Amino acid sequence: MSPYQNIKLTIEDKIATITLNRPEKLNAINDALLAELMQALKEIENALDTQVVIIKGKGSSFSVGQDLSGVDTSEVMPPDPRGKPYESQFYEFARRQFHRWRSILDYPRFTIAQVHGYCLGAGCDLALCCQTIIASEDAVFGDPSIRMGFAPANPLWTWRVGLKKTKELLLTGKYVDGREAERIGLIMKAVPLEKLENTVQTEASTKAYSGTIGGFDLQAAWTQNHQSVFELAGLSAAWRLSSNLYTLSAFQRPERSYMGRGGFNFYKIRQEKGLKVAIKERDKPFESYFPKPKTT
Amino acid sequence: MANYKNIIYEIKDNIGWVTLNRPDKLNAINDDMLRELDNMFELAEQDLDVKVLVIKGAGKAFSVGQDLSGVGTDEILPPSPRRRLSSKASLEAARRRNRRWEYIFNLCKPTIAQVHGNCLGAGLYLALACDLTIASDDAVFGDPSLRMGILPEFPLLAWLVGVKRTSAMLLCGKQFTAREAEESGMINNAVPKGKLQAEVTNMAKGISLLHSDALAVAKDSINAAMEARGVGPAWKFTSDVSLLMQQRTRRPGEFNFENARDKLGLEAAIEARDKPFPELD
Amino acid sequence: MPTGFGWTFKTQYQKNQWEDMEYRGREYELLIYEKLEPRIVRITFNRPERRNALNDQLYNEFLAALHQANDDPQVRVLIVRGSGPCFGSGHDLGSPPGEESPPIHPSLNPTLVDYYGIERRRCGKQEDILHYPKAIIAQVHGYCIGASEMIASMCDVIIATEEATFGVQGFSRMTLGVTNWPCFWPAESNKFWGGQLSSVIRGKQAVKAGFITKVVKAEELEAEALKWARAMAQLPTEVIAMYKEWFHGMMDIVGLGAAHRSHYTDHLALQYVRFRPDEVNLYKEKKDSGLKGFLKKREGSASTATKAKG
Repeated sequence: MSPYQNIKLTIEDKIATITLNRPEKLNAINDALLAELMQALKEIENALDTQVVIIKGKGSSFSVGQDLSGVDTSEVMPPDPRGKPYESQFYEFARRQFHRWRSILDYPRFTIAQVHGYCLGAGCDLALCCQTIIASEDAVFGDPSIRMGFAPANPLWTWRVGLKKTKELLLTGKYVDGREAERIGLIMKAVPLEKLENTVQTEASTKAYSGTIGGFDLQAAWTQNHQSVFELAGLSAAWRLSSNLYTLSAFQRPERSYMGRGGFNFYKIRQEKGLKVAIKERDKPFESYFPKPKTT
Repeated sequence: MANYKNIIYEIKDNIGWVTLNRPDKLNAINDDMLRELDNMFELAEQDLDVKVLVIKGAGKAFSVGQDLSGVGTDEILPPSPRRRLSSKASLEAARRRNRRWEYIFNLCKPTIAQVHGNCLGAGLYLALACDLTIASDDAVFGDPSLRMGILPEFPLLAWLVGVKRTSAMLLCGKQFTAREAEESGMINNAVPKGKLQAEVTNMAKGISLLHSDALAVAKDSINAAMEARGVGPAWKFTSDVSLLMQQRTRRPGEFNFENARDKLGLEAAIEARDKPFPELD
Repeated sequence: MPTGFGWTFKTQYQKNQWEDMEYRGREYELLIYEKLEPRIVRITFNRPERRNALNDQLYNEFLAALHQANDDPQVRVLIVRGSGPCFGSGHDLGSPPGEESPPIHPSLNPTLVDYYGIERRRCGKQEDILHYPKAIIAQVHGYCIGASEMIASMCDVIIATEEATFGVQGFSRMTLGVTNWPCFWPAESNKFWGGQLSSVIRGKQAVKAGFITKVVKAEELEAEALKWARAMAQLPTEVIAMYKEWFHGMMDIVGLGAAHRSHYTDHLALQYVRFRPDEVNLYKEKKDSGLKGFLKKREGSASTATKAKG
């Protein structure tokens, strides 16, 4: 019997599958989902035979990212400034966030993100931390953080798509579809939606059952070395800094931040008009400049 | 606002439009232009009206790079041996030269380079130091520095396109078409010539809707990741090796650009410089 | 020979192995050294019947050739290529026990430190090519795998045919040497390399990713390599040397040197691998049915598993 409610976990021989399970919220990541995700990853780690982990989303999307409702999101979003938190709370939040995402990238088994629908914000962070991403052609990737006044928390973008494309996406908050994501190197492969499941299963099986020439022992050695190469190239330093800057940029006491100087005040609009309207109003000004890719 | 002669600077709708303005010299960059750019960047960074900067070139090209005329070029070019500068002064000059690109790279406001035609040498460095580089499909990217015995003082290129492509351009002298530049990660986009202005204006306007605070911090966060990956130390290391390059042993019979220029004039000297090199595609 | 103390563990990373390798009075038997033009030397690995596999003699001759070319004041650029079917197939796994090239034979009772020492020497040999002060072009056709692939990746320019094959299936992403380290884009991009589940890349794809410099049709290969050699040969020797000094300094800053060295500890991993009961056992299969048989059986087990899952 599974103790999980916000995710589903299945382990079948060498392949484990984690399915994000809040379809009615487009798998928005809240504290409960995040905790269960980390718990599931720990459980799989203890299953020593498991070599490949597929992460996917139930319903119409992979994940729209952080739950922006303000409810049950103390681990997902920085502390709400209106509650007057101390700065130490921000820094400890940033530290936990850094360790969490870094540990997913550092995961000892081969992770595949199977993406369809929306893959935004923290949902995209999760996919970026997987060893590879396979998506449907009409999947939508992006990080609209800057439209909320946040700096990007995840430095992996430059590794995946290069510096120029990273700035184009993160300094505008614009979205790209699966095809474009493949073209720029964000994902491994974009396939028609109906072929997605099969494609991922085939790749996962190939990896799990024929893997490296030296079996899983060699895979494990290589995985460790790969991580040290990341360290040599300063990834963790960049990640800590990104996490700190993200947290500080979300420290939006109006009197000190741009919100009090005419900037877009997401919290205020959410309080007055609700979450859906707040998200709409956040994106509306940009629609004519950076139109969203069409989704089926 | 300052009176510039070598650039044009206009602010419109929160966008700072900078035009390199020596079209009769294909926007070759000399010390005067450098000074004006330095001044403009300083003003723009502090100007609350400016959310984003766009840099483009008047006339037929973005910029052919360093002015090679030898007149008013003590800052933009490494010191000629004829000046007999001390090592210390040469090192300081080298540091100033490439520190400028580092400064532009780390400007607290987003920058867009709008590139058409030739984009070479220091023109290339300027275009790539900007956050976004958008080019027309007839743009050409290259760097003839090594042919002049000058170290290409732009380490960032390796981080953008990887080791083999960097050597293809800098060591072998290959020029990249706009499409090749886009595929290799050097620039964001190659668009039909007639659409370039609209594309850049669209990007600039979209970005200008965002708050300056968010843009500044986000950009810094992204650049810091590159810094951690070694781009930071690389800027400084480059000035050091530039000095080594300048102080190298020169072999008898080796091509000397200054002598050729004295003898043949600037254009013919450039031709003589390039003639022995096969064109690579 | 393994000594229980690191295979004549005299080699430090800093020691330059080609500078030590004497060429004067040496007759090259396994490679061809030609001066194509005053400024251009071409080195051809010449063991076509063994797919230019690198044994101790060939490797030492190669290092001596590098020494010779460096001492020649006219020479500015080298071209390296393989004769016969390919550029090179890596270390010669059929060399007699006691040679450095193959993995240390178990009958020699090597210890961890012996393995470690030999890997350091291998690393040093490759690094020396990376830091070679003159320009080198790798002219690649056919297979370019293992140590041969590393040699190619250490060169400034790689010109290859479209079908040139880099990498061996089953080595994860440990291919194309320095080009592949995830420090410069697009090595960690999911499309071009980081996420790829195959460890083999053909010339046609490798050039798109920027891992190699140029692809051409097989009949154009030699002329194209010569063209690029001539382009670089116009530059004074000092200019090339200073450029390379700068470039590799920057690569070290980004951690490439350390990353390259740490890669060799993965070779150690191969020595201690134990296969799980349900994994296809490399050593057993190679003995019974050769490398081809091993690869075939592995493929079979993957498709069986996929079928079973439906």
